[in-house]
Amino acid sequence: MLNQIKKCWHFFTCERYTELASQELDQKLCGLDRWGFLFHHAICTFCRRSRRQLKVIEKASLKLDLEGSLGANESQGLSEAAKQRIKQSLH
Amino acid sequence: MSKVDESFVSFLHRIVYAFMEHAQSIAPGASICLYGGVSENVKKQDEVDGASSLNSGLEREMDPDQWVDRYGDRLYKYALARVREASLAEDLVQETFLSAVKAYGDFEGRSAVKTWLLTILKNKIIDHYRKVKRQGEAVSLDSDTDTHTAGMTLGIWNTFVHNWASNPDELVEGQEFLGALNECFRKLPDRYKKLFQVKLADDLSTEEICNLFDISASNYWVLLHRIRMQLRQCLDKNWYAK
Repeated sequence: MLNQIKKCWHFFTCERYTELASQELDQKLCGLDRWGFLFHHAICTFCRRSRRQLKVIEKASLKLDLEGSLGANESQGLSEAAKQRIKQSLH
Repeated sequence: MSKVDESFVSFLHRIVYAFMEHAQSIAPGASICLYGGVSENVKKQDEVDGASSLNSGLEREMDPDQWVDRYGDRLYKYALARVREASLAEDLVQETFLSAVKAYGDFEGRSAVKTWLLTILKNKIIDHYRKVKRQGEAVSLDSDTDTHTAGMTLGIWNTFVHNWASNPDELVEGQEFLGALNECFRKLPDRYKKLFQVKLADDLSTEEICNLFDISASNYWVLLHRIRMQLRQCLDKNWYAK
């Protein structure tokens, strides 16, 4: 009984909304999840903002990843010896 | 840009590229850059001495030594951020250049050389993860005992959720925001970084990623959610609040 109540509660929580917002970035929501998501979206300002933030984070992460910068330390680079070795291997 | 627009641009690019190849064969004096039309400076130079600096742009792009000097550092940083070992990262970069030299004939120029090289490198890294997994070493994520979602208590927000910007697209272009995001990403646990980076690489389906890390689909979505919420909270504290 307690588990059922927990499940029911979880369905309407902001945490569940953000889980679905995260999933929505990669695949379409269907069925009950979609309706629950839309209902919560209509009533919760914080969750609407969080959804926009997650979209921005995803877009920006993709941009950084395409540039090859995500997680990179700008001060690191190939050593001269490594560059020479690679050039030699290409010839 | 919609898919129709992208297809149209790609079609135009093919026509321009075919024209450039044809022009090269009939008019060696014409100077043409591989990735654009005929640049003004190159046209002038061509008018003055009729020389074939024609292929100067092409030759530069085709010269592997130029690739190493121009893109080597970027590729190395990308690889190092993922594999965490300097020598392995160097090997992956070397393999990337070797593959690129072999495959250059197939390169259609639809993307920049840097993007193309990064794509090859991403695939090399994913192959490395697969090899490590086949050898039975730990590519898989540690079992995630952390059940807390950043910013929430009992499923409800325990913090004020700010409105970051009226125009979110501007944020994505802002260097300050991107720098802060990069810093927040570097603070994530290694297991989260690996999963997120493999997911962003976009070459693997959800099923393949789950296979690679030995996790279920539902666990995958939960982990992605936690990663994104941690990044959100970090950005809120370290970028927005400042």
